[in-house]
Amino acid sequence: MSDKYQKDLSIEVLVGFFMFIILIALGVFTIILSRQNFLQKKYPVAVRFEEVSGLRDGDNVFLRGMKVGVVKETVLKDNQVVVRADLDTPVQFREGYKVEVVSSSMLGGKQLKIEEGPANAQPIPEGAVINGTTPTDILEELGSAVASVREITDQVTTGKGTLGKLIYDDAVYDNLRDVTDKLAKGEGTIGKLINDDAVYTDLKASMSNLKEISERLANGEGTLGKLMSKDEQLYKDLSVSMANIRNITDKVGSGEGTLGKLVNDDEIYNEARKLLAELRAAIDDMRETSPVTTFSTIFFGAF
Amino acid sequence: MIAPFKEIYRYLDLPIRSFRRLGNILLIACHDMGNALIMLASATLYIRTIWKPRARRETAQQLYVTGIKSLGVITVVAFFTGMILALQTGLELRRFGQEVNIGTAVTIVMIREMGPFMTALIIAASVGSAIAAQLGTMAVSEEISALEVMSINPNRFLVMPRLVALAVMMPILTVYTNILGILGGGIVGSTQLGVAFQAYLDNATRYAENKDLYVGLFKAFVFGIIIATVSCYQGLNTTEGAVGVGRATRQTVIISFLMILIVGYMITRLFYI
Repeated sequence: MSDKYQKDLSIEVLVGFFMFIILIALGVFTIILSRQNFLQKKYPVAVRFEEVSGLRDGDNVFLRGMKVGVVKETVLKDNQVVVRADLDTPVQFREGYKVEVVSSSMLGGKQLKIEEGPANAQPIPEGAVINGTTPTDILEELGSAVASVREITDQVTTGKGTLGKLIYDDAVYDNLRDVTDKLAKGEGTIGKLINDDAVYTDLKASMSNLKEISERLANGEGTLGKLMSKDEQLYKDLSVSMANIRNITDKVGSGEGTLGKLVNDDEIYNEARKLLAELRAAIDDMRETSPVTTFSTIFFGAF
Repeated sequence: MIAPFKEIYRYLDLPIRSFRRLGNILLIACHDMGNALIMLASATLYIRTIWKPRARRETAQQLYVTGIKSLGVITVVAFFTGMILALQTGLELRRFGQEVNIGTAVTIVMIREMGPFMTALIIAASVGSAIAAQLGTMAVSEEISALEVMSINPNRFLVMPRLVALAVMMPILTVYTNILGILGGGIVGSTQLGVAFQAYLDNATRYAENKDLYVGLFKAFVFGIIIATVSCYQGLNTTEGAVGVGRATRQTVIISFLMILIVGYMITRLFYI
């Protein structure tokens, strides 16, 4: 084998190898751009729309924010657009499902958004027609919004409505002028508030007092301050006092001690009543015998 | 001549001469274009002889020169073209918080336009000028005449292998340019613009279509034919020695660039409007 032939052969091999590599790359590129995985099983779904706002073949299909497939084709049929999509995962549509065409970014582009319906809803039978929601045309919405704004500005310009009167009716201006004049002269409550320094002085004094009170509270001075102080001494004292009072009332309730017996023991009550009855009888006796006693005292007093 | 007519003729002399010169230029352009197309048709007809050993060897040699020998410069140019595209579009898109979309921008621009265009410019400047210089030197040293004397058709022996090599290699090199350009854009996106490489790739393949890729490759194929035709024609028709060779080389680069731009626009308009 001559050197020249070997050189020619190596050149041909090199060129062929390079072309082979690039052709494989081109094949991969083509498959990637076709957005189709030939080895993965596909689950076709057809959705009917009134219109699709520029949805195109190859646009992505999203379910709960996840890409689950691509739009395979869009076909005009029976005054509707049938969108056929190939999904990577099976989707069970349920009552209350929603399929809509949404913008994929601010720069444009569309995508199909699927919401399969609430989990506890009735499943849609396989083969049933899936109806998509007609997409909102943002430009149309914007146009109607601008028309509304224009209508409002027209009404304002012609002096209609509150805003129109506010801008164009001189009476409003006159009233406003009158009010501001009165305010400037210090007439009325607000006028006095604005013009009279006494109000300011009073307010300042009040604020000063409030500030002093709040400072005293913060420093724990006075009863309220002590109540609010951080060392909680008063709270602890109060707590101990309350515990003591509860202890006393418990004892009284259970009939312990003098006061408890007084409250709970009926015998003392009966004795007291009896004593009172006897005391009353004794007083009655004394009252009845008082003339005799007086006479006796006077009579025997002379001796 | 009567005096008034003489005066009128004097005033009309400059426009008439300009018009005549323009007509001459147009005639030469038409003549050159016709000859070049006849040469192209002749070379195309000889493609059937490509499997003969000598033609196959010559074609392989031209494929090697056009493809493998140009890889270095194409690698650098493609990589930096992608990087520049990513940086420029990314900086503008960042204003709107949309820098993640640089993948889409770089991929579509590369496979539709910049890939074939940049490859064609490099090949026209390096391979096209080399072909014109080589054939020009052969022409002024009367090697072409010698071939004709030996009944060897220069279109079969010289033009056809170069035409095939450029027509085949241009789309191949364009695929290479596209891949490197997109990778370059991804590197700039991930290092300079904070776009994750995976996000860049996801975005790159979201909106580009096979049509974009194959229209780009078709453009590259047409550019290859243009470069081969212009360079071979300029080379074979070289006169006036070394000066003529230089002129042929310069003319090849200029005409190729202009034709690439004009035909590129026409193909874009044909497929996208």
